[in-house]
Amino acid sequence: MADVALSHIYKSYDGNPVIADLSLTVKSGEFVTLLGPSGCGKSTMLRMIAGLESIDKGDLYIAGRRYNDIPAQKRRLAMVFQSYALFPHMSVRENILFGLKINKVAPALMEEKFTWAIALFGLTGLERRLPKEISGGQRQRVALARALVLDPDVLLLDEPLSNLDAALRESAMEELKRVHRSVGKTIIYVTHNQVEAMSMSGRIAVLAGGNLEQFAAPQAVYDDPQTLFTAGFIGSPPMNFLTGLLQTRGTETGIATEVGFIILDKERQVRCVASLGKKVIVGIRPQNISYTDHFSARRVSDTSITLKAELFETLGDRNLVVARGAGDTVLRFLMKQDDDILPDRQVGVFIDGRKIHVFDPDTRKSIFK
Amino acid sequence: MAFKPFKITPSARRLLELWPLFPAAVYLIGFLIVVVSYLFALSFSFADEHGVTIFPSFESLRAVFAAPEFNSAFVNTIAFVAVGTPLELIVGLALALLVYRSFHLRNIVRSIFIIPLAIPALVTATMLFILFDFPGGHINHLLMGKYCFLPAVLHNPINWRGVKLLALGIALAGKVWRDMPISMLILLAGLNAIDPELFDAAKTMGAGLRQRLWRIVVPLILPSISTVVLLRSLEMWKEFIFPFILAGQNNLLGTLIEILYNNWGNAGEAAVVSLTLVVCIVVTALVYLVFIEFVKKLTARR
Repeated sequence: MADVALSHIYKSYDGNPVIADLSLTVKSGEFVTLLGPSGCGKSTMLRMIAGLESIDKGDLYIAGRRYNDIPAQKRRLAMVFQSYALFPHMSVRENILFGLKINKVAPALMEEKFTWAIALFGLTGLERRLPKEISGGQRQRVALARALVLDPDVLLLDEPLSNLDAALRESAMEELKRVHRSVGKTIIYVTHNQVEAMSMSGRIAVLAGGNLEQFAAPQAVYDDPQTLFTAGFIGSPPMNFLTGLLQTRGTETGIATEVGFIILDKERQVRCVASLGKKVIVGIRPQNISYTDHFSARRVSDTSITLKAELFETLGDRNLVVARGAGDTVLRFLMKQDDDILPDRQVGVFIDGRKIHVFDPDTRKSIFK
Repeated sequence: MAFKPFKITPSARRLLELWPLFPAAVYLIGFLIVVVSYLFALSFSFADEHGVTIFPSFESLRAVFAAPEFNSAFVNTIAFVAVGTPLELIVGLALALLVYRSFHLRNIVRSIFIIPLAIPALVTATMLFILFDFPGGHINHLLMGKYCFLPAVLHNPINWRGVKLLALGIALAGKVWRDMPISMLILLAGLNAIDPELFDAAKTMGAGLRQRLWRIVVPLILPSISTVVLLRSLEMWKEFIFPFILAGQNNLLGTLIEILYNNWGNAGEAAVVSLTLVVCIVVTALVYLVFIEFVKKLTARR
């Protein structure tokens, strides 16, 4: 196990920066996910840690030692690739033993590690099969086994679940969590899938355009997004955004928007005093807009507004309603399956003032202190 | 009357699909039958001192296999195949690995490597002839310090094409230089078919350059290697131009055929040598086909 520290990392291709002055520290034994859309630089970051890409500027420290100039084959890291990168001409056994043979591990120890790995990943009986003769899920487990038998200081995972179907991905996520708990390795995991990031990570580093948007625990990233990008990227269905003016009316502080004056709860009112009078962007998750009929106990911090329901999308357990408010503002919210809303009818909803996010349109950062 | 769609069975469809190949097949097979049957007829014919052709006769065969010229040409040809084929493979693989790597101006370098193929073999051989001429070839002049930029390392010129080993060596070097782009392109196609993440994976597991080459690259491009070995060895068997221009009296089977037919006017013996060459090529092809099947099984089951 080892901690990984990235300090002011910069990387560019043909003069175009893909990582710009990025710093973060992964603690020893931690499961950290680099999360972001395609092209945000997350895989490049992982490849730089693995030594497969050079670092233009900045420093990489693993267990306190500077690793910038150490070639990939000399780093005590293991990586699982998106394609799994299993050697097609080698059997499952040969794939798992490859790194151990390269590193000239004693045959007895090699056998011991192999037995441990195939038992851990349920690969018994597949030892002689070629990668093309096993399923996608089994390949993914072979790739993990191949990485873990090397007993690496850090395990790097580059979207290893993206080639699996939804059901298999669920079980693979559970397996990964179980493996992390049992081996306790430092894991750096790259994905664009927020569900994977939220369900497995100890902390999530949200990346966009080569910048670190936020680095925090999954719940903190969801509940308290620090940037407009994080707010929009995390959460499904995505957050609603409205523009407005932060002001105080009577005893309440809130945001004057086209759909109405959206009240903030007392705690948030205190945290945004410095921005009073400024133009802001309000973020409201569809989960925090409630249909009046099934939420009778309203709080003082709730804002009641009226919308016209336009479209309905079935999500299985709930329905997503796309509705339009004053000033042609489109808002999405969720309702229960048994709620009965008719299209093109006015519906009353209220917005939970404790769950409102407010961002500065210039810095695109949260105004809450 | 209602239109009835024309139905075709799958087997009839397959036959129909093969139909466009028929003229080419007839041409190729017909051509082969005519040439080989004529070759057989000539090989087993013998013209006596009165000009009367005797058929069948083993006289041409007996004469050829007893002649030291044939034995020498046969050994030279085997040496050409045995040295030239691996040489073309190694040079082709080295060039393929070189241009496979991403570097500045890679496309230009790759194009430069293909230039030898664009030069006619006769021109390349003639250029080498001029370079290694005796006594006034450029290489001799160069080594004797006649060009101002290099000091003299020789006092007397070397008769490059007069020494058997040197003459065959120059012919072989010319052949390998001229044909290396073919091997390079076949091996490069094999390399490009490998997922680059395999190399990355091997690197992260501690594999150095040599280990990646032997444990990943070579097993994965074995089919390309087999193709190169088969194609180039067949080419080496029937090589003519380079030894004809550069190797002087040191014949290969290919040049011996020409000499027997044109210089000595002995069509029967020329046909026997040709037939020997055909048999050698067919045997080589069969051996390699078996080898390729073996390699396929080996790579599939490893």
